[in-house]
Amino acid sequence: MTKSFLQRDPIQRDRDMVRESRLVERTLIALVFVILALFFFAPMLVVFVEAGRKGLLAYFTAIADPETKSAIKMTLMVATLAVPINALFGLAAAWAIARFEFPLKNLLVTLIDLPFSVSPVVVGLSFVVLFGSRGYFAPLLVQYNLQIIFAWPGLVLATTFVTFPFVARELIPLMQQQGVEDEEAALTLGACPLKMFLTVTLPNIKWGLIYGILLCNARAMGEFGAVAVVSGRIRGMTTTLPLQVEVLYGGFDLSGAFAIASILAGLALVTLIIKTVLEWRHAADLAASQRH
Amino acid sequence: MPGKSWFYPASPMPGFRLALGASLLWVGLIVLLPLAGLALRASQIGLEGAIQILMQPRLLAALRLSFGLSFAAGILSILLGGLIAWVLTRYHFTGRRLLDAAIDLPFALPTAVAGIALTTLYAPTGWLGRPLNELGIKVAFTPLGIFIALVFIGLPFAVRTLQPILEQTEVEVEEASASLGAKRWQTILYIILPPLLPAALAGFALAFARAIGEYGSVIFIAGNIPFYTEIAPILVVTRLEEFDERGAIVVAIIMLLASFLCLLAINLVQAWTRRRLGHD
Amino acid sequence: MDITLSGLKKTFGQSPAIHGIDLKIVSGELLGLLGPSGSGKTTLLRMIAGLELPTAGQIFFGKEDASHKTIQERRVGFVFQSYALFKHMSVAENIAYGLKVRPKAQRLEAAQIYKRVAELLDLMQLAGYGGRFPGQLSGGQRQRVALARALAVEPRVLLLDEPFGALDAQVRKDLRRWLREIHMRTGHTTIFVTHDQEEALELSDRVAVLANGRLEQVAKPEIIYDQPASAFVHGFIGESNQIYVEQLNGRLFAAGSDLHLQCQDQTDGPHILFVRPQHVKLSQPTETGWRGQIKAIHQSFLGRRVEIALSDFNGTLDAIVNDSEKLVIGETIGVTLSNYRLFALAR
Repeated sequence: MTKSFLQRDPIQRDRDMVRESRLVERTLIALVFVILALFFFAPMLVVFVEAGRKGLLAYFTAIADPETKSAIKMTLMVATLAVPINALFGLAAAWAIARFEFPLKNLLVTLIDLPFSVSPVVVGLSFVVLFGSRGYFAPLLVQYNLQIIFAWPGLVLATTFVTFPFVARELIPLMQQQGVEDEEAALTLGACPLKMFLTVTLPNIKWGLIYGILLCNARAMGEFGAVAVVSGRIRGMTTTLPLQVEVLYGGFDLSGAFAIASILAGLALVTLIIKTVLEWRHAADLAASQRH
Repeated sequence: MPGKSWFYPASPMPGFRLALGASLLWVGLIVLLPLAGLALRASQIGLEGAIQILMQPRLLAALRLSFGLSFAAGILSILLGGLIAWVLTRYHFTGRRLLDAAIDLPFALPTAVAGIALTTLYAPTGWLGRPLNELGIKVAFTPLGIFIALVFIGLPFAVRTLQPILEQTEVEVEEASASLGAKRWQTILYIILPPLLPAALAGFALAFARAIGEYGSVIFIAGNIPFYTEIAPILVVTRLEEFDERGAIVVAIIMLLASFLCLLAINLVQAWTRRRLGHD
Repeated sequence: MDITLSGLKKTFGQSPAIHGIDLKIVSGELLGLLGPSGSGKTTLLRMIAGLELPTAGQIFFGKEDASHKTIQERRVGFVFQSYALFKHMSVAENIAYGLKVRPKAQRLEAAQIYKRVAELLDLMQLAGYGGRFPGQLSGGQRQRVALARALAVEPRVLLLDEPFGALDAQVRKDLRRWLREIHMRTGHTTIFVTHDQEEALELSDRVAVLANGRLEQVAKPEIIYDQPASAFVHGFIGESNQIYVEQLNGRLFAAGSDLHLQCQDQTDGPHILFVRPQHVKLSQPTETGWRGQIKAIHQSFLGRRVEIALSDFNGTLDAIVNDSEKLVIGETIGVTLSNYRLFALAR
């Protein structure tokens, strides 16, 4: 009989005898708390304190400002366009990469990751080069009387580029890990491809998909550098919330800037909380699937 | 259903053509087309023209500042990130999960929000800026401020690349080292740290690449004074606003090359590690 | 080096793992710690190594009380179940590690370290593998590297945790024989933990059987097999048939019928009777002896086994019989026991 690692007894430890003393341990933990307090918690706190500095009335006046409202609308529109389309693409790419072998697959993976490492301002500049007044597509745009740069399509394009990898990145490892057995079983049971996708694939990856969409959305609503370059910051027209933060901050309307910043910070917090909850839940799901 | 051909092996799974076609189309339109446009424009400037633009002292100063600060921020990120990853994976204490979740804050927080928050915090009147100011340390509107913003951005990359590697290391290996007579510092130096090196390099490269391109969290705290706190991404935007597209493109291409080199370096390091350690 | 454990106890949180163990391991001995999962054998080994602190009791290395010595000070060679090789070091670097981390004053010169590593590679039949990395080795080779690494520091005692646990059956057999040879050549006091009785019986000078954190028996393998000291040991080691019996006034009964067997102790009350299949003999049925009916005959290359349903009381027996005996299913036969053991059951 061969005994595999899976069967080995778990080693019981009181505490690792070989590791550093408790004093060192506590010092390091304290140090980490200090680092995170200085770097992460203090800035978050500043946002909410500054936003509320002039009282609730000023806060809501700032948020009810027509320019802010228009920025909220623009932000929502950009996210509503960029996120679903990237989610669909991410699904397609993950399906191709996790389920098939084909030449230059690694190149495709690298290309999908690329937007993570390109500077947002370079992204903006690239779209200016294509669609700007002296860009490659300028004659075409003039002919059909279209505007992309300094208009909402430019914002959508830049945001789509920047948020491009999120869903695919989340799904590829998940689908690779889950393997094809469930799907093969569905096919052998006579399910048509669409039915297999809807009844087997999608339920299996739903948490990963939601998670990816969530991250994608947070980034889409918060993107600054890329949209700053293509927007032209026409107040009340092409500003998103992050751009409006800059506009107000630059105009020394600090409480206004922080009021909007607090909305965005709230969005980030909600995203983080949902992400963390999903991760815990996810972990339980994965553990369960491994037990079977 | 795809048949067997030279292009892809037979697979019972449906939808290959549709999925791959959609992926390629989308990658081509959204990612490759703009970058190709940029590259084409850059090639029209020519090497000579590019060098001429590069020789502008203001541009050189911005690039030097960007690369220098990003490098330093990458180093500090990996050191602090290593400490945080160590504490998160090794110790159990109340608030551990909260800390773990908080690491992703810079991923989720819009950079502009981080930018104004850090600026307010470190401004001479700010919570941290005031005491530092009294010590004679100016943070906001100095290179030090940029550095802090870049560490803020780079830290999660460092933590998240090191954390899985630390989680994998077995306590048995440390016990083995101790049983062979090694002191704790020897175990840390010879046993725990070396396997982390590839991940540390990858984390550094990620943090560095991100820092080179970072815009939103830096512009507010930098103050953008030419020859002092003007970094490359800000110069790209400035040049564009001055209708100097060529100048903007040259800086952008250099930043792009730097990030490609980082990606390449990460891939090489990972391939090297896999080869050396074999498949377990 | 003699190892003496005295009143050793270990509690994890609220749950006791080791309940007070006294044991002396003689210098040069090869001792097998045998027990089922959760019996505490690994914990015991880890306490000897210094990887756990005992809750109570003492550990002596020779005359020296090592109970509170750190693992570094104890100078033990520990081979982990997972081998715990340093993946980023070559085989030679792994083996040399313990020599290189010594304080400067005690450290060998580089040339001596090199020589020692070469000797160990030879001893482990790993010559030529010094430059490889653990990831490039097979399971058996990794195991030998782990052993070489532990031996390199000239340990006072060699401790092995499930040394063959993760290997294929054939490799296990080879390594087992080879470990015995290494032990004979190097003469280290060696303690190894195993859940595999065959391994423990074949390899050890003495076997210590552990159950629920208590020592059930410590003896030579043949004694463990032939004269188990407790019902647990008898049931755990080898095959046995078990029958619940009642002892009354020096006679044994099952379901009211007299078994006509000798008692082995004076205590009346419920007992459990163990008999190994090779000690169950078939004969012509008699009036007073046990009778049974043949229920099944299993013929295999290992021999012939018979399942017998006892007629006079509820019970079945497995017997190993001669191939030459003529037997028919359903046939009534007589049964005698050439050897058996009785253990009193706690009421």
